[in-house]
Amino acid sequence: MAMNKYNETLVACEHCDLLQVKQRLQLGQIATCPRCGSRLYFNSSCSPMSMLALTLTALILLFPANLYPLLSMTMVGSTETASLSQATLKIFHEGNYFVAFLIFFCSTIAPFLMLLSLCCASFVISFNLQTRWLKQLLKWVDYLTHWSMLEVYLVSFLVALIKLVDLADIELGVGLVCFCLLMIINSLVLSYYDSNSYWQRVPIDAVS
Amino acid sequence: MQSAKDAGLVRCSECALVCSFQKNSRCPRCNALLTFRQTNSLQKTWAFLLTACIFIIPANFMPITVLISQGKETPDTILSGVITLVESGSPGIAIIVFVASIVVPLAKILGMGFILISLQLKLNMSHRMRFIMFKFIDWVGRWSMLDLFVISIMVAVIDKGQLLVIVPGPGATAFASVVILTLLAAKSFDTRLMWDLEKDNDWTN
Repeated sequence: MAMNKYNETLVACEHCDLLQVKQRLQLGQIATCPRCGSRLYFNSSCSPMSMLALTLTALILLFPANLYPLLSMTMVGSTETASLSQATLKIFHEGNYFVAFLIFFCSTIAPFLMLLSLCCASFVISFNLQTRWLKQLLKWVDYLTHWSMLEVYLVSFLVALIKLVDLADIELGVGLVCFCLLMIINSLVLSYYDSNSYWQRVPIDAVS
Repeated sequence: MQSAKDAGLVRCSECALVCSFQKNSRCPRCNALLTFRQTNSLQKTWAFLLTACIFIIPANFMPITVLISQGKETPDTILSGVITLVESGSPGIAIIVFVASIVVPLAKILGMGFILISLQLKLNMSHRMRFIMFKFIDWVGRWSMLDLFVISIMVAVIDKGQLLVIVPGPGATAFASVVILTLLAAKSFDTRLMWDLEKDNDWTN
């Protein structure tokens, strides 16, 4: 297979294909495309080491956020609690596998795998390890961010809460606190993640 | 100002490395197949969009949840759920649900259809406008999942056996399909095709 020439000083816009020469940016600066206005690249003020800390925190929070009850509800004398994982399991037991899988994927699997891949990638880069898995990890991060919908879930929770508040006595659970923290850290991770500088750490001659 | 394609260069779709183009060659950094544009982007987008068009009908007319109270079944479609919300005195939430589950999927399908048709007929309109429209459609699409998440929470919490149960109806499956299909449609649309249209690089408008 013929090896392609490449040019790391150039950048092409993802959305309009405008070709430009890369500029050196100051910390926190963002370069945007002059033609379509999308973000081209930026100099993140968050090092891979800080990213490792952020993603680890998010990964730890993910477990209580999924397993502890988001709310408990008292109605006609008995109390029901609902955690994120229970909510998905219920739909699964009703036999609606497709919807159950979609909800499970967008609210749990995608955020989990995305954070895990980014955590591993940050680990590899922070400690200068050599692994052929790095490019695969970065690809997964890219695919999964699109399907991770934590912020949508939180708004859905509020909508459900207002629907339920007239029906019964509601008590908010520990899971909700963890979930809110998880969402905040997840959005920090997303806004600080600089895919360009991560990809630059993938050695080019290592490809067969 | 020229696009990478005009310069014979190609941006790797996975890792964004700018490479010189050769047929059937792979990116030297991440080993992805290099193509100037997503292959069959318009066909794929049309296919997803038309399928979504079909599914949106059962999604709106079949019950999305069924409330079973003491053996009596009350099916609820998306619209009747919104109406119940208005009647129970929470118009704010009703608007959120109405926008996320009815307006957004419909606007997405119509908007994407409009962009595709205007692109294929080479209609003369501002590229920037069309691009902003697409970006908005792309961003707003994920919020359609809201109704499904709400259903999952309601189903989990309201379970009183014989007294009161909520189960998801067939409309939920159709609605989930619409959400997925419109997300995939937006993902398979290659925005660079819009900018390829401009012959004289007159992009200042």
